[in-house]
Parts: sequence; structure tokens; C-alpha cells
Amino acid sequence: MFGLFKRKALATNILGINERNVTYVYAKNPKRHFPLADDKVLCKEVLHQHQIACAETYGVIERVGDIASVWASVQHHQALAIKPANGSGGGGILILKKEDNQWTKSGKPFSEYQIFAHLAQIIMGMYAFGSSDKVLIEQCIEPHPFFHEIYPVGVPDFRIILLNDQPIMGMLRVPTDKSDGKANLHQGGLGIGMDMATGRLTHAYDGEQYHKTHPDNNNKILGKKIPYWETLLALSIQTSKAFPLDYLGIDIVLDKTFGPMIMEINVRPGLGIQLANRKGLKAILDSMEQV
Amino acid sequence: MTPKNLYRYVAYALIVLPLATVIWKFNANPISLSGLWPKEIYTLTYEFDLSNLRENAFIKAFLPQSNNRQVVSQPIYTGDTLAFETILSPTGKIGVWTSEQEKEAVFQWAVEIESKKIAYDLFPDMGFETSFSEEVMPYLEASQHIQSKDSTIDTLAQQLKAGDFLTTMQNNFLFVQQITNSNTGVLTDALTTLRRNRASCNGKSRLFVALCRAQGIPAKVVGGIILENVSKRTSHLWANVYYQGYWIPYDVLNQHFAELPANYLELYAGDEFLIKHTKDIEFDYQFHIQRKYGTLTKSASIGPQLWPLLNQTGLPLNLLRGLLLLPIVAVVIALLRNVVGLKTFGVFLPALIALGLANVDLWWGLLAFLTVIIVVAILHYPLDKFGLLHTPKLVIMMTAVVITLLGLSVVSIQYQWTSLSRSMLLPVIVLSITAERFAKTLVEEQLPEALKMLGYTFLIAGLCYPIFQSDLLLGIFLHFPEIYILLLGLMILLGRWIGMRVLEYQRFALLAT
Repeated sequence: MFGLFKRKALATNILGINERNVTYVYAKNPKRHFPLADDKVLCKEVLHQHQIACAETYGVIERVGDIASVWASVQHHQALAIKPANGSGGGGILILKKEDNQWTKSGKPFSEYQIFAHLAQIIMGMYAFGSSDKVLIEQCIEPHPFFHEIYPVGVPDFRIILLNDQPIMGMLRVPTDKSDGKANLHQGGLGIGMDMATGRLTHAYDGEQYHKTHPDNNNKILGKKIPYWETLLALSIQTSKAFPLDYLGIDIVLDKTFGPMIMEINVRPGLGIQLANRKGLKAILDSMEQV
Repeated sequence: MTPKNLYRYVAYALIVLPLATVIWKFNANPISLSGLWPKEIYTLTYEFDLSNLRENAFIKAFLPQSNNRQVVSQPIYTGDTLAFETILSPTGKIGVWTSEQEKEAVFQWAVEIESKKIAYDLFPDMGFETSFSEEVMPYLEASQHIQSKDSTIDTLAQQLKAGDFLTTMQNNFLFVQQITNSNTGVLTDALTTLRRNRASCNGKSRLFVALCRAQGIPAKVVGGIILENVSKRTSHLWANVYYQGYWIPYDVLNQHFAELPANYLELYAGDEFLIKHTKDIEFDYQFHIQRKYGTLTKSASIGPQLWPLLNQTGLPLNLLRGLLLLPIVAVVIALLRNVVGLKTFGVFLPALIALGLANVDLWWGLLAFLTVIIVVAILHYPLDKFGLLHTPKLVIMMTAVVITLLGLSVVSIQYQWTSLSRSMLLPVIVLSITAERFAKTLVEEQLPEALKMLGYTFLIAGLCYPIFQSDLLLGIFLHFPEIYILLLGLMILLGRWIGMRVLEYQRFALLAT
């Protein structure tokens, strides 16, 4: 089914999960520093320390007993995002907006009782495999109009992979009708390749094939210029230098008002980015390691 | 030797050294493949307690002999000595102990026995033989307790006789089988068995033999001991029926048709007493039987051996095999994950599933497993909607698992699916974890991905299942425990192996052009 020639071509170009783990994730990132990336609260502490652009932290709740007081302290905000510090795949994230002095979720009223229950569930580990967790309350990102030109719903984000503080590959993740607002590739989202030299989008990959436009609405993708490109790259490098981790996937969002902001960082960035870029990571990484 | 490559040298050493000792042990003491197999070995001890012995008082007992299905070791004699000789008679090997003076004596005579099951295939088109050799002819004649010439028996025998050998044997077997079982140790002859319609093994065997003889088929009773891990005084009697050069065994009482289980020890053939002794002596005896696992043919006895584990821990073989083979199963799983790239629920969950299935019938066990998973997966939807915390949710799911298993058992008992009712033996915790992981994947990754992972989990469990059942592998590890070290070396290499996984070639196939 698979020619020897093709196998060899893949083996020399593609980074497989074994090699990613042995040669990059474990060799480049000291295990004791993994929590800096895995725990959103710790991650934001480092970001704030280095004054790196990211969503403003409104509050952190570590105990159920602190819910009421911390919640009271964030009431002057008009919108906020509630996240479990150790959640994965977007589970447990709650976006709340104030309308007529009443908190709403997706336009529907969301009572204080419901909010408190959700906060308690996060702390009791509902989204962290049963171990207790922390709640992060932070500024709500307003997606940049650039994203709406591609797809009007959800919050797309950029993923940039860096080795030794150098950006080597990136992709833009965009939701689809199928992915229900989520931008993850394996949840049905689109992975869009990026030309790192020019800062333009390339093809969109939907898990099966490549598209030049968004498959749901035919909006242009191929060749589209990414706004704030230089800032975005600089921000990723600044972030990578701030963390004692040398192989990283950095997630960046574009806010309507504030521009590029770091969302989170990942010590085990996925390998699907190679499919989005129609290009293997291995050849690039190998050439960098030789220098 | 740079520190960077240190792991590699350690791994090579861990692989080469055990390999060298295996080869060395093998050369020093070559063993055949069958010698690797751990078998059930029985130590059979005849214990005699004799007093009031006069001069020339004797005791005779049939002793086990090696034949095509049983291997008997050299005997070991302990206790008071008496003059001893063996006599080979047509019915078996007889040990004779004679006292030369008045005395009391307690002694033990012991052998180790390894025997195997034997079974014959009979076909419906097999006719009857009409002429027999000299040696077989006597087994057509009536004898004192096997009254094949008696008219009642003869009439019955002719009624049961069919057009072919197999059907005739089935008829005889079924007829004798319906006679009520009794536990009497008293000698019952064929005719009495028929009249009373009630007998133990010896009466049933004699009637069975009498029917055959009346039908013109040579047959004889065979005496021996059923080997089991106990001390006892009872021996057992069954029948051998002659057909085309073979003596084919039938045990009506225990329902063995043309077959003999491995633990039947043959002692004598013919209507004899296992033990005889001169009158007036005070006599007691006992058979002590001990089961152990090993091989009679001593092999690879160099270096550390794990055999004692099998016999001295008192653990059931299944459990011990599971433990001893867990490392090799783990290695297989590691290879399937890191080299092939199969994703499963949990790293070693497939191994636990395979281990759990070992106690039940494979296919019924899988069916029970799937039922449980479907039930829990459906249940997961409302639980997820309610927003329940992890631990209480797990408790609910585990309870659902127990209820489902109970339900399956109730249904299977109603329909008499005995194999399915044994699914109660499936490990509830393993079931619950698998079901919970499936449900979780269902929510996070949607149905196709969850089904794929479930499929892979069961695929790997299916591959692990025969490994856990393998006596040959068990024998290999018992003989050569250093292979465990070799596995460590392999895993160090695999831990640093950076090749692409087989399924990754598929995943990235689009990039191959």
C-alpha cells in the first residue's frame, strides 16, 4: 500500500511522536518546569512578571471558601473568562458577559448560583481528572475582525512552535460549522498553514484535504496577510525566552483592541501542524540542531 | 563511552548477558520444547502400616508402570524394610513385600507421575471385528464377576447392539450411565448391578464390560487411581474396550467416552484387587497424592529457578501465570503503542482486560464487556449534563456496571447460558474504568475516535489474552528467568527509539508527495 520510496521520504521529513518526545519534549524541557506550561495560573504569573501581553488576570480562586470574595472583587468588569488552571481541550471554560447588570452566557442569563456551582466544580477537579484545581478569571478576548473575515464564530488562535527561542512553524486554527465553535484540529476545526517568511496564510487542512477558502463560507484564506505579523513573532520569541523551556508550542490570540496576546503555552505541541503546513518539522529541526 | 550513549551500552549489556546465559544453559543441558512446558506432576505415595506380621506374611499391590500416556519415575522407598520383589503379570506390575520374621512395619513407597489425557475419535462407519488374536480372546469370556453369558445380560446386550461399533458403544454407555450412582466400596458384579439398578464405579464398569463381551467385543476392567491433591484410600475402576489393536477407555461413572483425563493413573488391567495381603495381619494403607508443576525430565537445572514458586506459594496457576507473564505482555503493549502507534484507553488497561477475561469464556466475556460499555456510555450523557463531579460519577458508573453484570447473570441463568453467567467474575473495576474512558472519549472526541480507541483496546486485549494463557511462555520464564532482564534492555532501547510509528506513515501520507 505504501512504497518504500514514500516511506523513506516521510521518515526523513516528518517528526513522529517518538522523536518529538525523546529528542525535543524531554531533552529540551526539564520536567520540573512542565507545570509552568500545564498550569494556566503559573503560566500567567510568568507572563505578567515579564510584562508579556496576555489577558489580564482578574482573579484566582484556590479554595471553595474564597469563591464569594474573589467573585465580588471582579464585579466591575463587563466581560470575563473563567477557566480551570489544569483543564484540557477547552473543557470547563465559561465566557460571561454583563447585560443590564446581569451576567449572561451566550446571551442567556446565568445566575450567581450557577456561576458558583461552576467555580466549585472546577476547584473540585471536574475538568482535571478528579484532582483538585484552581480557577483562573481573566479578561475576555474580543476576536480581531481579521478572524471574522474568515469565520464569524468562536475565537481562532495562532499556534507557533519554537525551538531554542526561534519560531519554526506556525498555524492558524479556525472553527468550522462541524467543530461547534472549537478550533482544535481533532474536533473538526481547520488548521491553516502559515508562511513564516512573509506572514501570509497558506492552505487550510480539514483533516482530510486542503482548501484555498473556508469550506463553510468560501471566504478567502490562501495568501491572506496576517495582521501584526512582526509583533506576533516578536511576542512568541519574548515568551519563549521568559520560560525555561526550549521546545514549545505557543498559542496566541488577536484581540480587537489590544492586538496579539499569549493564550497559553504547551510543552507537548501536537504534530498535526505539519499537515496544516504540508511540510515536515524534522528537516527544519535537524538543520537547526546542526548549526 | 560518552554519557550520551550510556543508555545504549547498558541496554546492550542487559540484552547480551541474559542471552549468553540462556544459550550456555541450553548447551549445558539441551532440552526439548516439550521439556519447557510446565506440567502437572503427581507424587504418589503408597503408605502401609502393618502389624502382627508373621513369618512369610506378605502384602501385594499393583504398582504404576510407564506406558503410552503415563511416565513413572524410579520409586523411592522410606521406612521399615521388608523383602521386596516385583512380579510382572499379564494384568500389571505387582510389588510384593514379604516379612522374614514377626514384626511391625510402616513404610512408604513413592513415585512421581506425569501423564496426559488420551482421547480416541470413533466414526459411525466403523464395523465390528470378528477374529481376534490369542491375547485378546480371553477378554470375550465370561468371568466370576462379569457374567456376560447370563441370559439377562445377553438379552440386554443384543438389544443394545447396533449395526456399527460406535453406536453400540454409545448404547452401552448410555444404558449404564442411567443406573443410579452409589458410593459403596463393596465389590458389585455385573448382574447385581443390572438387578439393583444401583452401583458405584466397579459395578458399572463390570456391567459395561459384560455387555461388550456379550456383543462379541473384547473388553476388560481397568483399575487405577484418580490423581488429585489429597490423601485417600479409594481407587477407581473403568473399562477398556478393544478395537483394531487399541484398548479404548470408557469411564461411565465420570462420563469419559473413549477418552481418559490426564489425572487417571492406570495400575492394572483385569478383574483384580489393587492390594492383597495374607490373612491375620493388621493392615492399614493410604495413598498420599501431591500435585506440583514441573517436568519429570529434569532440565536446565542450572542457575536460579522459579519452579518452587509454582508449588510452594499455594497460588492458583492462573494467577501465577498472569503475574509471571505480565512483563512480556507489557512489552508487547509497549511495542504496539510506540512502534505501531495504536492508541488505547490507558496504557495497561488492555492487559488488565485480558487478565480479567482469563477467568471467563473469551467470547461471552467480550459480549458482557461490550454490554457494560454500551450501558455506561448511554448513562454518561445525562451524568455529563447534570455536571456531576468525577468521583460520585464514577461510583454511579461502577454501580451501573455491577447492576448490568447482575442482570446479565439473571438472564443467562434463566436461559442456562452457563458461560455468560460466569461473567460475574469479570473485574468490576477494570470494566468501570474502561467504560468511563470510553464515555469520556465519546464526549471529547466524538464517536468515530472513541470507537477506534475501543477497538484498539480490545484488539490489544485480544492479543494479550493468549499470551496470558501460554504454558510454553510460562515454562520459558520459569527455566530462564534472566529473560526478564533482557526485556529491560529492550525497553531501554525502545524508550530512546525515535522512528516513525507505523500508523504515522498513514496519518502523514498526504505529505509523502
